[in-house]
Amino acid sequence: MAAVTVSGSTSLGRRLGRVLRRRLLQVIPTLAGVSLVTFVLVRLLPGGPVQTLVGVRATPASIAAVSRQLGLSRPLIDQYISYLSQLGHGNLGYSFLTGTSVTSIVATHLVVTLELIALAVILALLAGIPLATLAAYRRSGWEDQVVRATTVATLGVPSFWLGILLITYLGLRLNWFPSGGNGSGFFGGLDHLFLPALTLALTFLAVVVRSLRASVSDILRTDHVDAARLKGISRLRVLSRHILRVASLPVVALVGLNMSYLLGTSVIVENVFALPGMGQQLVSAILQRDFLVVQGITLVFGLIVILISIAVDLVQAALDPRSAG
Amino acid sequence: MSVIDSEDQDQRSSPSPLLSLRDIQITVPGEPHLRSVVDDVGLDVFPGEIVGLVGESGSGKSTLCRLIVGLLHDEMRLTSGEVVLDGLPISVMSSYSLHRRRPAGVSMVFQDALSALNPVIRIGDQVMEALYPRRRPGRSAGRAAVVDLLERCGLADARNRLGAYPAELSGGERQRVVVAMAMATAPKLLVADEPTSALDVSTQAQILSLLLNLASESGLSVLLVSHDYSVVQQICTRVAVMYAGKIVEVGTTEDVLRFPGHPYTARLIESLPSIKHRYHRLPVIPGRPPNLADQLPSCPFYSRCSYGAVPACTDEPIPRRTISASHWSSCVLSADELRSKEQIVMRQAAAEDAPRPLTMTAEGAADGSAGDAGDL
Amino acid sequence: MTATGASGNVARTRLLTLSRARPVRRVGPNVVLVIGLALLALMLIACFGAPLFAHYGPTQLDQVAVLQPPSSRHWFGTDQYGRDVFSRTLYAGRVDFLIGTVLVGVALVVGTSIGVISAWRGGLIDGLVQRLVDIGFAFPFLVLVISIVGLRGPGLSSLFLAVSFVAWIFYARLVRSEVIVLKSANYMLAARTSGFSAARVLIRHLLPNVVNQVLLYATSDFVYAVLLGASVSYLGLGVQPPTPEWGAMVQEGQNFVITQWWIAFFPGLAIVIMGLAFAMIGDSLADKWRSSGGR
Repeated sequence: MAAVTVSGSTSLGRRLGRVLRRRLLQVIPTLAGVSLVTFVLVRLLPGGPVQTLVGVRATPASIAAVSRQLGLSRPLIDQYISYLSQLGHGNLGYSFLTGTSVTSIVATHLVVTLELIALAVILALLAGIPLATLAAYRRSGWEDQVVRATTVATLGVPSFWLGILLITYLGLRLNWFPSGGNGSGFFGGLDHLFLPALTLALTFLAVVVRSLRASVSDILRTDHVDAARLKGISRLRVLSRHILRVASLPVVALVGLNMSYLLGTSVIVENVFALPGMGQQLVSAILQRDFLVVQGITLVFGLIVILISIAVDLVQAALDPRSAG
Repeated sequence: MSVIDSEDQDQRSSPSPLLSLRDIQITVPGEPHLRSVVDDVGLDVFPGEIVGLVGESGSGKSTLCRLIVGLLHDEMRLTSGEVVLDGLPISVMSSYSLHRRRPAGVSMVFQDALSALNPVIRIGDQVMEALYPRRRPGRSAGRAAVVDLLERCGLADARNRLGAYPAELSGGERQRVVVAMAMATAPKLLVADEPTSALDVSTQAQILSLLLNLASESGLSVLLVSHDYSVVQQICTRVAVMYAGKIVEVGTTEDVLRFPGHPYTARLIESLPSIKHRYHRLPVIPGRPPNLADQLPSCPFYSRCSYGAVPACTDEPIPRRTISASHWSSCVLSADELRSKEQIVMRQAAAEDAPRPLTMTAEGAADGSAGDAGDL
Repeated sequence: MTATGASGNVARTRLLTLSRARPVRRVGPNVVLVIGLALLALMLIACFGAPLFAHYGPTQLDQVAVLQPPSSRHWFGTDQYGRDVFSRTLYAGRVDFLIGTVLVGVALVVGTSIGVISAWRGGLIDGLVQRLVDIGFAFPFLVLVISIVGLRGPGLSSLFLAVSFVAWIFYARLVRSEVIVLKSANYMLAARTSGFSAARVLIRHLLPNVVNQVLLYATSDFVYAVLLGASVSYLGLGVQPPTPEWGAMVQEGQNFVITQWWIAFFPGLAIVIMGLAFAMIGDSLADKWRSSGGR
């Protein structure tokens, strides 16, 4: 089906290099800000971590003792500098309860979260692209109205409620999928990931369909689609090569824009399904007042968002030869 | 409706038209309060000739183009009439079955080459796709065919540009690629919808001469659509003028230019800027172009016509008035009436314009008449 | 977002001349708007007039009628403590509407002000605000909120504090980009050169255009705010028991969901319906303002 490709003169590598360099430079102040915010978060909050750590019945003496022990009584600047140097060495702190380093906690649990999000995005696109294309082709037809109405109706669906419903009916009643935890091996893991990913995908689906419907609608009406029809190529080919291929750009942008939302909602979903990802670790650390873990995981979430946005820019640059970078 | 165009059949080498439009009416079914986009249009294009179609935006000329190539917008429908290309009634065919044939009957060149090309696919591949819509050719044979076609369309250094993306080309180069894509299907008729409107004047001339060459080389017929009469005048032998969905005048380019038979055409030609004349006031057609929601009488130009209305102007329908063998217009005024009224209008304009407009031309006519507008 | 942006305009303008001629659309936006407003009004009346409609108190226990399915006595059934789920749902609505109003209200006011000032002044202030906004957007919103809440101690006040710190960035970014576009718009230049003072131009010409966009965004933001509050409460970090709140109620009913589905189902449904109402309102307003040329 593929046409014979003709060799090109545009260098993909050069384009990517330009975009990467520009984004890395842009990102440095944001990274600094992110580290500062997480630092400030823990130390300057009224009520402070020591208070919550030691408990309500703490005496000023014990508070002071703990503060000194944790190095929290030093001047803030000192603390920030040592914090930064620790970060430079990859030291994110330690858990009070288990003593494990935050870095290793992140390392073990990050994968699950990323898998969850990746699967959710795939599911959302698998369902969303056909729906959006259908609605765009049959603009103002009943298909379009139905799709739009559904999009409208699902704005307020809570992820936790949806997750519980899916567990109940697909997991427990019908026993199609396991209802929680993490499976072993590739298929076991996938099995356990499916319902949480589905939940996440469904909360995100309305946005996908709404946005893509508009994009595909616009693309359908461009001259190059007409020009493609004039060539006498098959309708399927017109769809895949000239419509969807061009629509891939707004799809990538859409995923990038929503990554923050997806990461946030994944925290909830992981808790509903007892999925051992970063979100679950974060919540249990919060409940146990393990503040260094909280700080570390929050920082990592920030880093992930930044990294993913750079990755999205790179993918866009790769797909779109017009991006000068 | 009698087809006046076939009266000049004896002037053509082949007796029957390549493209024949009869009683075309295009409406928007979903919006019944709007007038017809195209109303009672008939036109012929003969093999090997270049015909111009002139009209402002909203005149329906682009819709007519889309009808001819089978890409009418979903919202519109051909409610009556038919399009016959080389004996084949194409208005009832689906666009896929129309265009999958090789050689194709008809192809189209778009106004904005940048939007007519897929931005994420290399131009070599896009032309290749037009040449070989289904089967895959051998690699080197395919490349050679693409290069050959692009060179024929005047793209410089075609061999090395195959891997370029549309955004990397200049406007003129892009338009050449679009022409190449259209020619790749070996059409008998090429519809060019404002192919030069997005280009600067010198590039315009290059593209127009490209079209002329292609037509004379391969016996291709061209329907050149533009809002600018001077573009049409450069390469078209015959021209049709459209207004508000109707054709108001058809004739040879020269005839229509020198002796416009319809007030609208006269105004159109008069408003062409000329290097030779310097006006104190640019001639403008009063009023505004009608949009689809306006209800118009049988002569759509009635409300903007400065030649003075006669009761016959609202007759239903306006009959076609033959001016000469190949020239007709749909104005009730006779040629003489028109000309005398034109003098009156000129004098009025001149009187209002004190001091009188200066004419820098050495050749006669100090009345700034429309006849000298063909300077470009 | 469109990939083909400007170049797609050529095809689109040909069609625009058709649709502009006819103002009224299929299922008029006004119908949807009315339904949405009615639904919202119904919910508000039911929740804030809870004492009138609810048969029981929100914390009223009944050891005898524990885990009862929906019946004529208990429309939504009872939970594991014998509390009437319907009454609790209504009272919880007060809390959730309050959460939504406070969160959106604060974020809107603070964010819009910062956005306007930042865009209008430009320079260092704008640079600083942009940096802060970037940093704020670098974190998933929920993560930041629960971290702040968690570190300070769970509770509604922590939630309000946490959100106030962060949520303004959404409005600030929206408003800032609007103002920057409008600032250089022709009619603005005309107003300034006509000698109007900056404040007057700001208030009379700029704000009306910005207000529409902000209000539109706020209708869906209200739902997101309630979802946030419900999610945080679901995790146990927000509203504390025994105060009823929709998210917390879902959490409480979670373990019974196979057999006594009603405990977790109805509070969640309430959120969905609230979302539906706001979505209808927002969508129809967007349609109205778009087709009339207003922004």
